[in-house]
Amino acid sequence: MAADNVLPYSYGLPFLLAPACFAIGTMVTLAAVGVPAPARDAPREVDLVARSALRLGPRWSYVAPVAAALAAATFAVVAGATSSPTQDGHWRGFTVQFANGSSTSSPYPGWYYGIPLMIVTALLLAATCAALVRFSSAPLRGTPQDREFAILVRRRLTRFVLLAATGSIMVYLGSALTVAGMAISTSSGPNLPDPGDPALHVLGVALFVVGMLFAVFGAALVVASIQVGVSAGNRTSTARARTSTKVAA
Amino acid sequence: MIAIDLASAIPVFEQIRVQIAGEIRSGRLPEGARLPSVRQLAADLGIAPGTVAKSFSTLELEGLVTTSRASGTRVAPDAALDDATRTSVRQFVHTIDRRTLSLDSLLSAVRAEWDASRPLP
Repeated sequence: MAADNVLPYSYGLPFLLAPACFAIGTMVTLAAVGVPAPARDAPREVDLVARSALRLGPRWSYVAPVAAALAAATFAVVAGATSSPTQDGHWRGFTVQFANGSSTSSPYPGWYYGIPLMIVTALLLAATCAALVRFSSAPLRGTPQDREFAILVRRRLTRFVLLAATGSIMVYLGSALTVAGMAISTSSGPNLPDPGDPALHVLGVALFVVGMLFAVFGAALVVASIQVGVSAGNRTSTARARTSTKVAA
Repeated sequence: MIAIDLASAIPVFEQIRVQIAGEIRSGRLPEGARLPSVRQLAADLGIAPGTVAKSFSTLELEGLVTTSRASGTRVAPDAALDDATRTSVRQFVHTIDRRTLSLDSLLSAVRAEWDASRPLP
């Protein structure tokens, strides 16, 4: 039996979950802070439009994080089901049986990584929903210009949240795919004493490449979300300053 | 859009009711249009939800809106005035000199004329 511990002393769990935890923290903070409240002396003029968290952005932008989360959960289940326990008893290995023995590679995103990954994904989606609902349900009144400005800020914040959530999920899904690809290709590769499994080796390399692409694309989305977030933050600061000025006046 | 004046002698629920009824009858809120929820409208206007709920229930009694748990409060079918009546009202309003006549005065004159021209039983 050949054993290949790619990262023998680090299980990588904190590393894998860090993007999700950071995103959850951001969403929870945004849900807690919300958007600027209307000035106390703002005219009590309102639009007779039923607001919804789903109307502050294009439909596809809401589908993206859900699709990414479903992909992450599906991958976690598939990887978990194909994982094997390592010597320490954690389901973080990938074993290939050969005629003359077996080859196990670790780390592999089995249940040891998959279950926490599914939990943080569910938490991230919940936190994202909470932030979106908070943005859309915040009171909206004032002059037509005030209301238009407030809606613009909400649209930007919604875009930030959706981009950040999708990007974060893709970053850790990509990382998990990459690690899985490495483990599969290593355990089935041509460097083994056994002839190996060429088909599995190709699958491993493909997963590695797809994982890298996912991670890079996810990182690009996170960077884009930061740009949108900074822009929304500047506008929000302007709105808060306006509100304070009106209250002071 | 609707606006309320907390300093007005007219109760807030009545201000809301009159304005929403006007939006519906004028056709600006089309049949089936969904109104904001009681909670949203109350939060936006900065008033108690019960006040908005009272307006909505009055509008429902008048047949202008329908409320269901699944689809919220929506403009009822055939709640708007017909096109001919709306056109007549628009033309009438355009002929009025706003500098010399208030809306209340005009409405009282319309009411008096309406009562006088009511067909005898």
